[in-house]
Amino acid sequence: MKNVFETIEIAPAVRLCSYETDRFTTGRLSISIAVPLVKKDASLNAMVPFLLNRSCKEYPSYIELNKKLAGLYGATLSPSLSKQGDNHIMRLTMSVLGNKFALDGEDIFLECARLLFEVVFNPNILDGAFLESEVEQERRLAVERIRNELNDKRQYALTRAIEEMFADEEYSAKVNGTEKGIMAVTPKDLYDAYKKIIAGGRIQVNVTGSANAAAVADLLESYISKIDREPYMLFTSVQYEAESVKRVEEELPVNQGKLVLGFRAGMMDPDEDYPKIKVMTDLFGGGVHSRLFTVVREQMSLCYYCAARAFRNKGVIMVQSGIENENAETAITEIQNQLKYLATSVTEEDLTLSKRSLADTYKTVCDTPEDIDSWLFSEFMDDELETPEEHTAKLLAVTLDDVKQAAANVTLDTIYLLRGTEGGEE
Amino acid sequence: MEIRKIDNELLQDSFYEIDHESGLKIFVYPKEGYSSTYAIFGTDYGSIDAEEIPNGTAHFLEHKLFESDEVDAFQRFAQTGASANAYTTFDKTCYLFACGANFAENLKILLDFVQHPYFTQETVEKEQGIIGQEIRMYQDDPVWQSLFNLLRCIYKNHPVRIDLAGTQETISQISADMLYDCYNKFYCLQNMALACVGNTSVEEVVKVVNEVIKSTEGQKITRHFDEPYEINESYIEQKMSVAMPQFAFAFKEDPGADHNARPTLKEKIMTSVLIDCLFGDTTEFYNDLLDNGYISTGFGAEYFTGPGYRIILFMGDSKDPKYVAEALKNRVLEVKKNGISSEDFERIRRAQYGRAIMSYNDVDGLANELITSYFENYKLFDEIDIFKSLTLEDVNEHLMRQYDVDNTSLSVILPKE
Repeated sequence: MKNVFETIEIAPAVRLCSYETDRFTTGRLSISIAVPLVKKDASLNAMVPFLLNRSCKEYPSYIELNKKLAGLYGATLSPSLSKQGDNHIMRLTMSVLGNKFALDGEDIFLECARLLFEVVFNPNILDGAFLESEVEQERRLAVERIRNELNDKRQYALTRAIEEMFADEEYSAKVNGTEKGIMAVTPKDLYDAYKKIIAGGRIQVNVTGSANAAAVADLLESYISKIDREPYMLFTSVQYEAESVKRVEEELPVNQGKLVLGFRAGMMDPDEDYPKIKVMTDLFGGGVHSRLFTVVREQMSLCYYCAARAFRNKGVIMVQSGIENENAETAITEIQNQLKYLATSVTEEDLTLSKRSLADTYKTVCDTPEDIDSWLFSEFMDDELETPEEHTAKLLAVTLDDVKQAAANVTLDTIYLLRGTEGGEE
Repeated sequence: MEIRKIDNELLQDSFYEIDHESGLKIFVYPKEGYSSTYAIFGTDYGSIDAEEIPNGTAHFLEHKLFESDEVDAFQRFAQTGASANAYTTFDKTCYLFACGANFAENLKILLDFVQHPYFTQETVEKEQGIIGQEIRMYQDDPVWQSLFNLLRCIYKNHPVRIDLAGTQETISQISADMLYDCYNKFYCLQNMALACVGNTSVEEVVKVVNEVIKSTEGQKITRHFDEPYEINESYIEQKMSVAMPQFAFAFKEDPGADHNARPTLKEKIMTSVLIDCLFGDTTEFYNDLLDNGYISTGFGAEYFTGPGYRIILFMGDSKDPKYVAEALKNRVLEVKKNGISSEDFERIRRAQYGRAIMSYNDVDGLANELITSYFENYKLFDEIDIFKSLTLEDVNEHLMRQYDVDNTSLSVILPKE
């Protein structure tokens, strides 16, 4: 087997990325489709992967589709939504038993690929619309998904911070859509939206494990060739620096307050700047060697978690922490002090530790099918596929001056504080 | 020192089980072609071992063991680039790292820091702030709260009912001396195991162990719990900041004559097959609940077991948790009349056989499973053989023994205005 990353271009804006290997007992298969993220379409698009996951022409009900998956040795199929830059991503992912374990010598992976393509390209359509009964079900589940965003306070605070930070941009659209938007969709609207997605979306299929990628590519080609495609021009706007600091405070009846700081990363050219931003963000709040962990958590005992993450496609850095309300100002000041430290006083030793940790992490990407699939997904918006080794080489080339400059370029845009109103209770 | 090789023909894979002179049990599972190695050093001691000590001590000890009078463990791992972590469950505490290079050096650090406790009153007090925030985070987590409320409903005495990390009040009672006492009792090699999986070999692991490990005196702990068969309370509710009701529901089971006993691997597999046959997404039952708006696709069930406790647990969100609980009980009564069909059994057995093999994949999953299999007294590959030999009669007989519909509890989290 090959043990290398490969790309096969199927059609304009349609490609198959693969990593064939015999090492795993499990294979991974995914399809990702990207369309522009716009508020008016977000609710429609949000329902599509879940509707597709429910049935298809060949297996026209949820129970029949699930029985088919059980028969394929318990293969799993799961829909998800996300955004990369100003794009709304719909995704279906499968975990598949390795071919060598098939009881009758069948090609499980290829059959799973066929099923996935049937689900995506031959949905259960009646008179130019999705089935009313299925839409009704999915409408209920989509509304519950939106309402349940409240349950995970850490994620909820991050989503709210992004909504506020990008209030004037389509990027603030929520990947799950809105309750009002979901309630308004009709089965016909959904089918029209689906057709636009299939015709215009950027499509990437990832194949990982003991699979024959060329055979999957041929299969994909046979489905794509039947579609009259006109791909979208996908574009993401990046704001270099913050204009002023926006502060938003809200309250919920919870014990712990949540603090999110949204920064503009000072990114001009992603190819040139991102490796520097990535290393600097790792030093800032990446792992146990980072400033946020060692100072804000360990030295000051302010929190259990305080971490920073860079969003490559949007040129922003988000810091998240869970704190007591009365410690909010101290935390806000200290988090910014750590950035100042990085801009002025960061040492070669700090940098060496960060590079070692990052290199170690990327070295192990190819040891799990999930990590390989995630890596390929992270490259979805890039025309040229980069390998983890190539990415590591760029990170290792970052200098101390690069880090200082990258930290100096960071500007605070938004402070979002979710205050807990049950602070005193046990 | 005794080394045994354990093969599996189907997986074409093998691992080694080593009885080291020091008393430590070691597992090594070399994986060809992998860059990463994952090591885990664990002790058979968790939150349920809380007799005469404040609740949350096991978890507190886990946090504090990273500290040292010289360089703390996190800083030492930062020098090598490995990512280190630790976790505490109801019945074990594990320290681990994953790395893509410098495995021997990382293993030295792991064995060394876990064998060198350093607790002072000052560092204990500092940690109370950090763990206090961890506890508050969980207090706001509706899934966590519904589970622990349920466990308190199900169990009268068994310590599985106490919060894993304790409360801010109980951890304020923890002192450095208490930590040393617990450490000396539970962190002897006789009560511990080491598992290394990935880009390594028996020779490499044994060499480091010989060099670093300190022999200890002590013995494997035994547990005794006094818990009646009957549930404690049948219903509990709590109001939280959630959008719609969340629930946890369970059938309580008799843990067996020896209250320390765990279910056998075969019992676990039969239960898991039954769960999918009765309530899984290929059943009309599940699809009816879904279509009628009573559950979402997040609904799930598992066999939740440990020393002296075993329940069949259901969790999810619902507009009407009481309706779902009744439906689950009725479903059991209905299926018990005729047993499950051979068609359903074969479909689920095939799916679970596939998923079992799929689980023998990642180095982290394998290392954790090796430690668990040792503490729970089964062998890593046994599962595959059990799936092969399992019959419809086995699971139908098991069904008749399980699911006492008069011994259940329901825990509900309701939205707060």
